[in-house]
Amino acid sequence: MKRQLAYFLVIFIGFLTLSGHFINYSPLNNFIDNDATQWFDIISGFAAFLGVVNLLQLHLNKISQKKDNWRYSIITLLGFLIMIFFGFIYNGSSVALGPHLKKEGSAFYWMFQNIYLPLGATMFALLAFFVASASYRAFKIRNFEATLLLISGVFLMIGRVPIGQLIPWWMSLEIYICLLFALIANRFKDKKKMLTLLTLSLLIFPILIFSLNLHDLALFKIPNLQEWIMDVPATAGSRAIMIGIALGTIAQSYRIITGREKSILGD
Amino acid sequence: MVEIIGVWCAVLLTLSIFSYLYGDNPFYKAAEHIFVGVSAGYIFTITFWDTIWPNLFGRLFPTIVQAGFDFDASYIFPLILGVFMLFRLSKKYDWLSRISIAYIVGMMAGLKFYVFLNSNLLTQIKSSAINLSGSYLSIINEFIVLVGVISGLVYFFFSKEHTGAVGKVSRIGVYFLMIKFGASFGFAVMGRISLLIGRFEELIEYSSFKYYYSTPAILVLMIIVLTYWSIKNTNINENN
Repeated sequence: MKRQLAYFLVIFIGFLTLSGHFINYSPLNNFIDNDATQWFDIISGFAAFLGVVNLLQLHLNKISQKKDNWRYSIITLLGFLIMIFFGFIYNGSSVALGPHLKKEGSAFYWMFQNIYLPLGATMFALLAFFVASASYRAFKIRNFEATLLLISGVFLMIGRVPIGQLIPWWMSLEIYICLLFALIANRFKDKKKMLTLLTLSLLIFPILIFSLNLHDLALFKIPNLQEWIMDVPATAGSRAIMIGIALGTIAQSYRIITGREKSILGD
Repeated sequence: MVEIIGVWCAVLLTLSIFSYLYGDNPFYKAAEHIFVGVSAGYIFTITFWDTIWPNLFGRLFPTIVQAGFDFDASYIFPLILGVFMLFRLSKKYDWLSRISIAYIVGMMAGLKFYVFLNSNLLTQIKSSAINLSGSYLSIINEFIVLVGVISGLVYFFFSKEHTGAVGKVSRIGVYFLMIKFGASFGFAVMGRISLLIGRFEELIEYSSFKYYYSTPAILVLMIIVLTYWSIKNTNINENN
C-alpha cells in the first residue's frame, strides 16, 4: 500500500505537469511554470541536507573505528563545521545573515574566496596534466576514428589561439598533405614509394597552388577551418547526440509517467 | 592582516593540490579532505539561504522573512515533503521519503517530456533541414550536417544489427561523432589550461613582497617537508 501510494503520486504528478503544457488553464499553467519547480528546489534543498548528514555519518564512523586515513576525516569535519559556523552563526560583516554570503568582508565570503575557490580551481586545473596523458594514450590507438578525433581536437586548439592566425597558407597545405598521407598510409605496401610520393607532394603542391593563385582560399587558414569544423561536422555530431538524448529522455519519461518504470523510488 | 592570511591559505592549498603531480602525499590528502568538507558546508549553506529561506519560509512566514512574497498556504506541502525526505534516515519510516522522491521524479518526468520534445527534438530536426534558397556553399554545408545527423542517429539505433548498408551508414555516423568528440576534447583541454594559467598567475602575483613572498616561502617549506616525508617512507619500506 505504501509503495502503491508513491507510484500513484509519480503518475499523478507526472500527468499533472505534462498536462500543464497542453491545457490552457491559468492556475494549472502558473503552478507548472512557477510553483512546481520551486517545490522541486525546496525538496532538493532538504535532500542536500540528507547528503550532508550522510557525509557526516561516513566520516564520524571512519574516526570512531579508526579506519585507514581516519585523521584526514577530522579535517573534513572541521572544514564543514567552520563553513556552517560562518554561514549560520558568525557573520563578520555589517549585513544580515543570508545576504552576508556574498558580502565582501564576511567570514563566509573569506572562506569562499581563500579556501573554496582556490581549491576548486586548482582541482580542475590539475586535470590539464591528466588530460595531456589521456590524450597521448588515446592518440596512440592508430585507427581512423582516433585520427579524426586528433585532427578535430588539434585544429580546434590551434585555430582558437593567436598562433593559429600566424600560420602561413603553405604550412597549412603541408599539414593537410601529411594528414592525408597519414590516413592512406596503410594502403601502401611499399613504404619507400609512399615516402617518395609524400616528398614530391610536399614540394609540388605548394608551387601548384601558388601558381594557380589559390593560396588565398579560406581552407588554408586554420582559424577558418576550425570554424568550419565547429559549424558543420561537429554540429552534426552534437545534433545527433542531442536528438538521441531527447528520444531517450522522452521514452524514459513516458515509462515513468505511465508507471512502467519500477526502479525509480530507490527500491 | 586578514587578507595576508587569506593569501597564504590560498597559496598553501593551491600548492598542496599541485603536489599530487609528485604523487599521493599528506599535503594533497589534507587539501582534498578540506575541499570535501568545505564544499559540503558551502553547498548546504547556499541551498538554505538562497532557496529554502526565501522560497519556503518567505512564503510561509512573510512577516518574519521578507523575501518579496505574499503568504501562500500551498507551500506547506513542499515543507512536509522536505521533512519526509529526512525520514530516509529512519528505518521504520523511510517509506515516507519515497513520497518526496515520487514528487521529484514525477515532476521531472512530466517537465522533461515536453522540454526535450520541444527544444532538443523538434528544434534540432527543424535546424537540420536544408535551406535550398541559400548559397551553394551553405547548401553543401547543410547537406553535410543532415548526413551527419541521420548517420549519427543510425549509429544510436540498436534495434537493428549494424551490418550491410546500416553498418556503412552508422560507420559514417561514428566519424561525425568522433569529430564532435575531438572538438569537445579540444575545448576541455583549452578550458583546463586556461584555469591552470589562472592559478599560476595568482601564484606569481602572491610571490611579491606585498604578500611577504608567500609562494616561494610555502613552496620551499613544502619541498623540505615532502623530501623528509619521502626519505622517511623509503626507510620504512626498506625496514619492512
